[in-house]
Amino acid sequence: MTAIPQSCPGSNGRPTNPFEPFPKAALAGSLPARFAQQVARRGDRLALKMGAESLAYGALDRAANRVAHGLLEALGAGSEPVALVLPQSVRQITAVLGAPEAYILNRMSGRWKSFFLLVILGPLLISVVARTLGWALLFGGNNGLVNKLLMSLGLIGSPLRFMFTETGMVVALAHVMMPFMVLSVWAALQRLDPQIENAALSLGASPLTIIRRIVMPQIMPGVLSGAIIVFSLSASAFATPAIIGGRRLKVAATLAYDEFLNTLNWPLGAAVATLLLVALVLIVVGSNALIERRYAEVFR
Amino acid sequence: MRRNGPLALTFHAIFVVIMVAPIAVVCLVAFTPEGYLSLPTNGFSLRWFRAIANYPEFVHAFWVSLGLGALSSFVALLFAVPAALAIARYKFRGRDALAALFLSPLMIPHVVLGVAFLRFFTSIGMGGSFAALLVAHVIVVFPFALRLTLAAATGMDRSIEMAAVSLGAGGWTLFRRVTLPLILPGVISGWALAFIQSFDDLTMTIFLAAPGTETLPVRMFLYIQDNIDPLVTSISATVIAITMTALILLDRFYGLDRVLAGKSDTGR
Repeated sequence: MTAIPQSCPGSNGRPTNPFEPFPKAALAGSLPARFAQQVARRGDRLALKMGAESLAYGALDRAANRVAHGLLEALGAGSEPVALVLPQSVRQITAVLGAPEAYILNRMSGRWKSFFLLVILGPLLISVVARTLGWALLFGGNNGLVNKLLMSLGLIGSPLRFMFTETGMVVALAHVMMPFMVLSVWAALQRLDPQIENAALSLGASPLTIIRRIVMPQIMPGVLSGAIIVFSLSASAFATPAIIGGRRLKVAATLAYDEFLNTLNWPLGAAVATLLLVALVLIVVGSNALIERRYAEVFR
Repeated sequence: MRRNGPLALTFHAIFVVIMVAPIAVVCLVAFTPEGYLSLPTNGFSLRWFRAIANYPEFVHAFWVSLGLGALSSFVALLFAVPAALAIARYKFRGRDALAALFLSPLMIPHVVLGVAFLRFFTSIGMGGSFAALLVAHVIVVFPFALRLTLAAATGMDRSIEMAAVSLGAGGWTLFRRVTLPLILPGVISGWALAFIQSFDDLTMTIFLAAPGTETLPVRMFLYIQDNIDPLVTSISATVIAITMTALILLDRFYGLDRVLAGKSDTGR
């Protein structure tokens, strides 16, 4: 029984019953919302420590805001839409689809498991250009395969526009990033002790209760760290937004590319790239610190 | 372990279809006999694969990619093997910092790397050259080579080495006949993963490549921006086939989940 975490960090750090689910509030809300919550509650507490430098939550929040405003100013009054917000939805899709898939995969028997793992993780190493081209073909025009399928299922009445829209970009990016989420949740599932599930089953818990109260709390760190990876990769993604978004719908990476190689405004391009890097580092390091603090016991 | 219910299996089936669909559709369209984008409804044809030969810039880009991938992953290994052995075996000041530094190219978005390398290589007068591409690729693929080599070096049984030393083997002989064969699976997987990363990289390379040193992904991307026709699908299908072959080899020799999750041999 030593493998089972003996206590979970409650909101006040008091050891609690391991079978008690995490407080609802701990699982609710997006990372930014929870970050804001933490800032409001414990603005003076230490959030980051890098070498000699340390940042409290309040200071981290102010720094992140400075970067965000700087980014907005540098790009002018929104003449070109920059979709730094985009990863939010990509991340949600990958989490909602990827996490259950990893769970299902984990329960399969040996040979099927390795076969499907190859099928799902394989795309990770296949050229992003080829994968995005696949989506461009599936979306293509009003009679693209995706639209035909959705219409024949009666889900939509008229064809949706996927090419050159944010919807298409999100769908394709979610596909490109999916293996990272599956991998991350997969790693968390490997640490899960199947005996706890069996114990819950023997105590009369329904399958839904087991997933909600036993499995979910334990793989949540995996889901969240997967979300961070997906977030940072899709915020800086280039090929997929460029091919699906065309020349009009731009994200930070494609904007930097255009400034460097088309309009030849190198300083602006470098500024966009630098802001992207700083914003990503702040968000990733900040949310990592949050997750590690909240789920310290599960990581041990 | 409990079995998956029908609901879970349905979800799984839909998930796998979605994951495979874009790749499958590219490969299918590549075999179309028509002159435009369409699924091959009446018969398969190889005309678009033969058409690749009529576009020398694609053939050239393919060789550039292949050479760059092979060379950069090899050079990266030349650095990664000694680095991995040192980090896995010795405790010294700054060891963790060194390991973090070696893995740091993984954390930096490739756009930022591309911008930085472009600025750097232009200011030292190497802009657009193959050598510049090689240096940049070595730096980017180095963490992948290091991670797998490190995993193999950490999990290695050192008593075999000690036995060899007690029998009088030393220095180079020890490395060539004992250490290297022991970590070879990790080294080969590291090479394959590094090769794939270099072969597929678009985001950073597009900043550095000039006409003549364009890699295949760059050439494909620039072509797709203007028009999408069956030619790019047949090229993509070829690239997919090459990557799949490397992938299956990697899975057979080392296990794909281990390669991607970067688990060590001892972690099982």
